[in-house]
Parts: sequence; structure tokens; C-alpha cells
Amino acid sequence: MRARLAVVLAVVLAACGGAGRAVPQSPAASSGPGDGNPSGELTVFAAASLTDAFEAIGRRFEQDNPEVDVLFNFASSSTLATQIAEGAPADVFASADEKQMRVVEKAGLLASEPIVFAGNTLQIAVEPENPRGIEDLADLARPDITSVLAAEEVPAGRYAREALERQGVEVEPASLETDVRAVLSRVALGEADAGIVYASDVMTAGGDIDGVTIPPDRNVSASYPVALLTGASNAAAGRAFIDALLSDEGQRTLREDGFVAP
Amino acid sequence: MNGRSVTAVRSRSSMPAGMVWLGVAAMALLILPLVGLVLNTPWARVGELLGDPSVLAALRLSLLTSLSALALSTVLGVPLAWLLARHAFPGKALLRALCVLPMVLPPVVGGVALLLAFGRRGLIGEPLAQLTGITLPFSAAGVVLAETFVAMPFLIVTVEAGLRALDGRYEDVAATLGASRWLSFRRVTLPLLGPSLGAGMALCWARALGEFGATITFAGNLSGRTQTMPLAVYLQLERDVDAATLLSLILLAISVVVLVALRGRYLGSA
Amino acid sequence: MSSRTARVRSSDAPGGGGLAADVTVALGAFTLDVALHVAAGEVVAVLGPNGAGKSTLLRVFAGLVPVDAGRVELDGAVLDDSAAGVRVPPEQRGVGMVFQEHLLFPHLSAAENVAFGLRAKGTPWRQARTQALGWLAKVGLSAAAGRKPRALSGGQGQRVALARALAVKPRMLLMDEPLSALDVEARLAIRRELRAHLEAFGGPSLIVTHDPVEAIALATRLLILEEGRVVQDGSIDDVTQRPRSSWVAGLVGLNLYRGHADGHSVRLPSAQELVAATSAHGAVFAAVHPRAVALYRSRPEGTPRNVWPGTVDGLDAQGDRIRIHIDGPLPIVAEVTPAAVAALDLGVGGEIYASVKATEVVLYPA
Repeated sequence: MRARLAVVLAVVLAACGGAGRAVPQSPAASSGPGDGNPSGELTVFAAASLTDAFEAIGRRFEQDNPEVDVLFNFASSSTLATQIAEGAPADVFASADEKQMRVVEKAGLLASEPIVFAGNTLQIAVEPENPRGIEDLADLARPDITSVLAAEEVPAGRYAREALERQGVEVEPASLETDVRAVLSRVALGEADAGIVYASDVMTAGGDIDGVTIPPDRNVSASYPVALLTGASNAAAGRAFIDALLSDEGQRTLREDGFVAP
Repeated sequence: MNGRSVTAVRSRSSMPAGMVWLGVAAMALLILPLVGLVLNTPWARVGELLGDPSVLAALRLSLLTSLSALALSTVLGVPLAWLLARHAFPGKALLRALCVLPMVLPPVVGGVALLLAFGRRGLIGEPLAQLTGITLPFSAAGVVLAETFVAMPFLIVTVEAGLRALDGRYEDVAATLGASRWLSFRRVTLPLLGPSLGAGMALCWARALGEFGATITFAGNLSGRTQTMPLAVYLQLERDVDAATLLSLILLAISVVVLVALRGRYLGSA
Repeated sequence: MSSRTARVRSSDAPGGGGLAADVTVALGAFTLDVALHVAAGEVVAVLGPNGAGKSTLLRVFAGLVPVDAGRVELDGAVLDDSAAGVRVPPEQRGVGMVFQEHLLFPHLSAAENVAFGLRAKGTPWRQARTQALGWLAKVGLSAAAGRKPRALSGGQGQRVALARALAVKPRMLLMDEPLSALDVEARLAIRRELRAHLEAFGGPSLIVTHDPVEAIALATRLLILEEGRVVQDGSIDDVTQRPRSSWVAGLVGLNLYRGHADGHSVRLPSAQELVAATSAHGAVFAAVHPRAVALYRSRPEGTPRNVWPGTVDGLDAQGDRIRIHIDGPLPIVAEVTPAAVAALDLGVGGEIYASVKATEVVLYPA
């Protein structure tokens, strides 16, 4: 009896040692025969700002490919890049900047060349009706204004700092949020007067947020690359999803949500 | 089934062999992650990492806020524990459930609740800001509030149990000897409550020190003002995994010290 | 039983001072309803079956339990007065209390325990300590001054508890079964000392005990409490020779009957008749000492007017005698020598005749 239990325990411990590392498998093993209709689970890690657009695209993708189940993990691109580098299982990575995509590239985990599928610009998120009368980036430095930015490693935070530096504005943010959506909710909840987010975020926030545009010459252009990962267990579906992003329909959805052409 | 053979079971207890193996598996589950942490610590870079001002700021802030949360929890929690342990009043069961709720509430939910109550537009926060200009989010005071919210129940529960176990007649005796209620509390109840109070305070402090979800949701994240150690670890993970590991190790070391200081008192043996 | 509803009043305390109480406290199952006086220097032992409310009564006087209605006065000062809404908190009453478990503060040494009350009243530390050591010497425990309670024996702990209570010079002393938790040897020793301290104590004292021997050794008066009511309150002789409830009768070992007297004849509720040498009229108690009961195998001839048949229900040894419980139309307990038991060939279930001389039937008004 004891010997049997010892064997079971050894097997359990050995299995524990092997799990957690992304084990590349041949795509054929887990998707349908050949490269026909994609099927199975598809895991997409995407920047927080892509939440609404990707959920819409994902729903349409599932309708077009009924055998596929799309799972999203939305967070700041920096968090996602770290997770992927530490071995989190994902098929596709869509980042809000090229820097985080390079992090994954340096870790040797890209299975395809990154393709920029969308662009974005920054906007200042303020409460509806803009009660504090914020008109441009310089207003964020006003002592009576509570402003928040995304943290440095988060693309939105990096872009925001770039824009502020370029204009020579020194802001003392009250908080550095872990992703751009958190910046948005601070303003939406009324905890902050202003936050620098993407134009797409203002668009999807609807009535909860008003946006103050930043003129193009002071603005920053964000590039969103997407790539297939080497750890993908469903490469076929991954490739199909990337195609869907680049398709006319996908691009239209992104435009509707405030993204610009890549 | 022969569970009493000599070889595998070292202790004198006559636990069946199957249970021994389950115990070993449990130990592995709990200890292996900690071992992994220690083994991966970048010992060579310790000096450099500890010199980083943001690391020191996070450490200092964490100690300051957690100790403040501990003080606040003790001053507020002990009387509440007394009320729950010694007095009967309508709705007491409900009150006790509410007091313990933060213990089981997901911390982020706690953070959201705190915002709704004490945020700039919150139930209490709005009049507070209008009357005094004080806003709690984005401040160290906000961190203390969030930490107190999640950690105080630990103190309340432990102290309440200690009070229940205390023979109420000691206080009766003190009264017949002429001690006022305050004197009786100070010279009889508190000293006798010592072990429970100590254990409650240790747990409360450890919980406050480790709090993340409620803190980041309510107080935000800014180095030196609201970025406590757990937040620093989380953000460092995206920047410098080594630094994150080191900070984690520091937090782990503090937790171990707390547990050793408790020496099994809360965990049942004393 | 009408005596349970009427309040029994003790004799008025001579001179001023002492405890005068008349209290009603709802206790859930029943109501505590007691009126009593204890004179300065008097020691009253409170006895009664479990759950009678004895401890509660002491706690009421100590101020630890509120009075629903009534008044408590100590040495002329009002401690409780429900009508006037007065309730003096326990720490201001000057009432010393000693418990069954000594309840010495575990974290303080013996000397610190004794000094506690003095310090609470603001006595400077040094003075308090000197007085405490003085008291410890009085109870013979100078050597234990620095020891913690867990290092003391039961008897030693109780001595320290007594010193602690007396050190603050209380106006009244209350003791709740002070010797019950002690082993036999300690009990005897402490009882002697306690008697000496009680005699030296100037105020009224109340001791709750379930041991009649202890009551008789320490007190001059017995107060019997049953279901919250005072059933009997009198001198030791009075209570032990003329018990007024079956519980008390059982305690002192007497057979007790209640009935209606018409001259020498007492009619009992069971329609049995007892004949006494004295005469009385109206509701009476009739007490018969077990040793006054004579037993016969067959109906005896001769003088005893009180003869009746019965069945042996049980036997137990009591010292060098045997107590025989007899069931029947008139249940009674007889006390005979072992030789008599052998001679009569008595066994459980056996048929027996009991007889009592009229002169052995003690009558007193109910």
C-alpha cells in the first residue's frame, strides 16, 4: 500500500516540475486535421485599451468559426509581456506599443513577424461637461487639478510622458495606474479630474467620460503590433484571428472604437 | 492496512500511513514556492537593489502605514471586540458578521466599497472634502484606511475569542476591591488578554503589510506616498524581475519573523 | 406550602449598622425574593439546594447583579433603591467578596494581589505593599508574598484571597462557598482560621455553603433559601431541631411531616395520624428523630400510639449506625445499630413495623 502511494506521489511531483513551461506542440496536434477549419481554444493576450474592440471581433470570429472558443486576457501590455516571458500559455499577443512586443521577441517567443494592425492617439479624459475647464495638457499641471497617468512601463504611460515632455509640461500625478483602463475609471468615478488615455478609450466610455483632444502636432502616435507566439497550442486559430484583425471587417470595428489606421 | 510500521512514521503518533503522505504533499505545496523564492533571489545584486530610492521609499511607506493601521485597528478594534464578547444587544449576530466580512471579501471589492464610501464622491468622502478639503484617495492616510479595513477584523476576531475565554469574574473581583471600570480594564483585563491581544496584533499587522487589492484600488499608486511594498513588487515584475524577487523575499522574511514571534500561539498550541 | 410564599423576617438587628435588605430579582426560572437583616459582627450562613439563588443573592449585595425591585442598606448607607432609582456601583460599595475558586489575579504575585484594592483606592505603592505584607503575615503566608497564584496550593490561595478582601477594610464580607474547592485537610485548617477572622471582623458577614457542618462551625444564624425564597431564618438550634422544609429536614437528618393538629392528634395529608405528647392547633410541623423510631417484625403491643406498617426501601450506613428508609402509608427513616438490623433480619423489600413514642414527636407551628 505504501509503495503504491509513493509511486503516485513521485508522479505528481514530476508532473508539477514540468507544468507551467509553455511546451511548443505541433499545431496539427490540437486543431483540426490539416489546416482546415480552426477549432479548439484560442488564447489572446491583448492590451487593455483593446478590450471593447477585441471582444466584438472575438464574438464575430466565434460566429464565423463555431469550433473555436476565444479566451481573452486583457491587461497592460507590460504585464502581459512579463507573463508571456515567464511562461504563461498564450497563442496571440497584441500590444499597445512596440517596446513590449520587443520584450517578448528578446525572450525568443515570437512565432511570426509582428504586424501593426492599428494605431491610436492620446486624449485627456475628463468628467462629463468638463467641469474643471481643462483645455490642454498644460492644464494638467494646475495645482487644483488631480490628474492620473498610467505607470511608466505601461504603453499609455510611456506615450503620455512623451507627449508631456514634448510640450514641456511637468505634471505631478496623484497616482500611476497599472493599466490605461484604470486611469479611465479613476476619472469616471470622479476620483481624478483628468487622466491621459487613448482616444479609443474615450470613445468606448460613452457618456461617463468626455475627452479633450490633443492637437496632432502635440500628440503621440501609438502603434499596435500583433504576433503569433511560439508557445501557441492553437497556431491555426491564432493565424486566423490575426487575419480577422487585418480584414476589412476587423479594421472597421477598430475604427468604430476610435482606433486609427496603422 | 498496516499503518503502524516502524520505518516511515517518525513521530510517535499512530496516524495511518496514507495520512502521512498527504501531510507530506501539503508541506510540499506550501514550502516549495517559498523555497523557489529563496533560490531565485539575486544575492549578487542585493546591495544595488536596496540602494534604489523607490525600493527604500516603498519599504518605509509600508512600515509606516502598516504600523499606523495596526494602531488604528487596536484602538478601534479592542472596544468593538469587547462589545461583541461581553454585551448582548439586538442585531449582534449581524454586526459580528459585518465586522468579519472584510476578512472574506476579495480585497479589490473592499477597495471599491471604500471608494464608494470615502472617495471624492463618496457617501462620507464628499461631505468630508467639501467641509475640510481633505481627500483620502491618493494619500498615505488612504492607504492606512484601506489597510485597516482589511486587517482590523483579524484583531477583532482574535481579541473577542480571548475575551470570551477570560473568566469574567476577575473583573467582578476587581470591582468589589474598589477598581473603577477603566482601572479594572487596564490592570486586570488587558494583562490577562495579553497573549490574545499580541497574537491579534501580529496577524493584523502582517495582513496590513501585505495588502494590495484594496490599497491600489482606493489609494492608488505613487512612489513615496501610496506605493507600498506589495504594489512595488507588482510593478517591478514588469520592469525588473530580480528586484521584484528581492522585495518579495523581504516581505517573506518579515512574515516569517511574525510567525516565529507568535510561536504557535494563534495556531493553537499555547 | 404557605411558608414558601410568606416572607420570613429575621429579628431586627440590634443597634444601627449592619445589612438591611429587601430585594426582588427575576432569575428566569423563578424570582429571588428575600428580605433579611444581618447585624454588625453577625455571621449568617446561607444554605439551600442547588440553583436556589444563593450565589445570586450575594452578587446582588455586591452590586454585580441589579435589583428589579427593593432596597439594600448597609450601615445606614443606601446601596440599592429601585423606587428612588439609586444603584451604587460595586466599586463604591465597600463590600468584600471571596469566591470558591480564589480568583487571585494570575498575572500578579500574592502581595500584589493583596495590595490591589489598596492601590485602586489610591494608596501609594510603598504603603500599599507594607499593608499587604502585613495581611499576608496575618494569614501566615509571608513567605509566599512574591509567588504567583499558580505556585500556591488551594488552601494558600484561599488565604491570600481572604487577605485581599480584608485588606481594603470592607464594611461587609460575602463568601461564596469559600471552602468547597479545598481538600479535606486544607478545609479544616482554613475553617479554623476563617472563624477567627470572622470573629475579628466588625461588619456583617454572609457565607454561602452547602455543608451544614461548615455552616454550624462558622455561623450563628442559618438562612435557608429554596427557589429564591427564604424558607427558614433562625439560630442553629432552631433550624436543626425544628426544620421548616423537607430539604432542611433532610440536611439535618430529621423526619419531617406537615399536617393539621387538633390537640394531641395530627392529621397528615395521607390521612395517617400522628399522636404527640404536646398539643397544638392548626397547621403544624411534626419532627421525629430517626433514632426515636423503633422497628418490629410484627405489630407490637404496648404503649406506642404511633404504629404503622411499611416496607424497607433501602439501607445505608451512617457512621456506626444504619439508616433504614421505610416506605408505606407513612414514609420514615429509622436509625438503628447493625446488631438490630441483623436481629430483625432486615433486607430491602422486607415487611416491617415502625413505631414512635408520642413524646418523641416534636410539634411546632407551620
